Amino acid sequence: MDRTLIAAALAASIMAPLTAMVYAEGEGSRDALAPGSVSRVAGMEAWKRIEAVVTHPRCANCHVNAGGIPIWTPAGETKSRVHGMNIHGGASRIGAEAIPCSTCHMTSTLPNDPAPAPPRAGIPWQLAPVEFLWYGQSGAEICKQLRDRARNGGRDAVALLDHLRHDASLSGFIPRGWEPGEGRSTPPGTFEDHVRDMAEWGAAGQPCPE
Amino acid sequence: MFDIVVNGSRHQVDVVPEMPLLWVLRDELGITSPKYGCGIALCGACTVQVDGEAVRSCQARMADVAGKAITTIEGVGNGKLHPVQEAWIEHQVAQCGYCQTGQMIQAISLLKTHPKPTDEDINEVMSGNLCRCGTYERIRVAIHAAAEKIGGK
Amino acid sequence: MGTMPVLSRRTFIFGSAAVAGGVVFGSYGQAQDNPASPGTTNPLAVDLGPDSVAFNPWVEISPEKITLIAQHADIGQGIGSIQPVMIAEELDLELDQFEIRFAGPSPAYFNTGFAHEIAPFMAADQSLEAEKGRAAALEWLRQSGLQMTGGSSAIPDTYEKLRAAGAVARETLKAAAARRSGAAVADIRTEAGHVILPNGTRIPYIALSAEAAKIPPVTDVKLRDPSQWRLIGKSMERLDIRAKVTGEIVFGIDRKMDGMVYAAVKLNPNKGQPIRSYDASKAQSMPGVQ
Repeated sequence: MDRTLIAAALAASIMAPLTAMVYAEGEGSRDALAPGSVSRVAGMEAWKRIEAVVTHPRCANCHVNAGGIPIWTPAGETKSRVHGMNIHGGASRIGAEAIPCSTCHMTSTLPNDPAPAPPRAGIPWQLAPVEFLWYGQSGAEICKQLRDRARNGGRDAVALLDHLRHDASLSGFIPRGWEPGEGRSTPPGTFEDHVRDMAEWGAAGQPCPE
Repeated sequence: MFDIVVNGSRHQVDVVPEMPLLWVLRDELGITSPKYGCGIALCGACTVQVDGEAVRSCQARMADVAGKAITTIEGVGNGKLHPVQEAWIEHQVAQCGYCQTGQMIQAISLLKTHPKPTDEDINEVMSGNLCRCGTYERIRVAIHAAAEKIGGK
Repeated sequence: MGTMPVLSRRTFIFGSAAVAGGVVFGSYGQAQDNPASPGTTNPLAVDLGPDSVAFNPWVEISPEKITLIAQHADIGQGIGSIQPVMIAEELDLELDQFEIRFAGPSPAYFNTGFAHEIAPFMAADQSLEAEKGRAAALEWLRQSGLQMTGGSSAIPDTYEKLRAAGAVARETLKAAAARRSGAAVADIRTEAGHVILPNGTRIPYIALSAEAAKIPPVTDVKLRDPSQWRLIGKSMERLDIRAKVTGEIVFGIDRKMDGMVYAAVKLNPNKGQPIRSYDASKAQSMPGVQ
């Protein structure tokens, strides 16, 4: 069989839970605040807290460009480097072209082990879609991208909250950013803080720094 | 109690859900071909197939592989030597041999998705399997030879 | 000249091995029936089964099988295959006609080849001083019974010793066959694990073990000229490659003993620092922990 076909088939089957969540409705609406109920100033403050999360290595390191090379920030260090062992996620973003991410990063709802054991998640391990580029981007760039439906999976502010809740229901990557395994740094706040900040930012009209 | 199928045989094991598959195989079932090297997925010595995919068994937990089909090097050839094993003998790949069962399982997985692998394919897929003896050159040659054997059949 | 210490890679490895505890220091044994390793006893004589013979510390033949002893450990360098080949060359064995067993600790296996490495002289130095230094080193090795693998010393150590061990076994088997058949030793030859009498009768070595045990080993042997070699110097398959490729080979970690328990080591993460206290309660709460 053709390699790219295999890669595509694998990618399709593994990414099904992720694409499904685009259509999952309602889970985030409980968190949503009424549009306009949060001031622009408060919305910008919420964004600053969101920015600290999405630019944190724990969250940004797999949001890489089309080159598909994940980034490592080893436990106890702040400097980033490329993932070891020649790893790249390929166009499939799950490593199907070479070695699947799931060879080492298990699909599991069990808690993460202490560093440097590879973290696991309830969703098959993968890079974020290539248009969701965070690593190496400024906060302003990520902000504009997050509210751009062409580059955020077609989501409005409420659908972004759905995304967070759906991912959490699968023990996915987002809540695990705050539970990466002993010895690893975490983004500021908690997952619930992050959901609240996203709700406030959305209700304030998704303001972004210029 | 968990159900596990290893090389076609069904077993029941009474272990904690978090027990790594590697220890289930080695200590509970006495299958010692997968080796403990690092315990953190950095060396590849423990690699086995789970439902046909190469996986680091030190990372796979019993609860996550229950009911799945596990294949170790004993099970890859259905009673005969697998072409990868034949190539490993012909090219005298193993030195101490500790990492080699993991290397072969990974190579078998590589050849499924890349029936005619280039050197670059081999570098990409095999880079997570370390060999302290430094048998990499012979591993590469043997993988090419195994690809020929499989392709010729 | 000649006194300049040489810190070669080999001496470095020796140092590491000594620190890591990979060296066995035996004690000096009494001079007994061990012609190939003078001044030591034959460790194989201790547990020898009935009707079995151990011509020297490297060759054991029972009515069931031929066992060749590898005194140097093999961690992938291939010496586990080369040692029996050197014996088989002189003993006229095919490579599938024997089992290999790694030696236990014994002064009989002291490393003669290491004298060149520990004497502080360049390898090319043939001066009297250098030769005396090496002789002194050899005597120290013999007296300490240093049995070790490393420093590329395995072949220098065994190159003559193991061929001699094979030749002693061969000539003793021929002598036993001569006694049984009445034929002259000079008319008897050996081939592929068999003694062949002048009339063409082929007697397997294992069928001669009981009789060979009753006669003293024939130690007056001459090693074959390299032009006659069938095995040494020829490309060969490693004797353990199949076991390594099928996963059957047993490493230390694969060995299970009765009553064996596993231990995990926890160190102070700061180099060289002692332990003030520790809390084992979490480990002890795990199932199976004693």
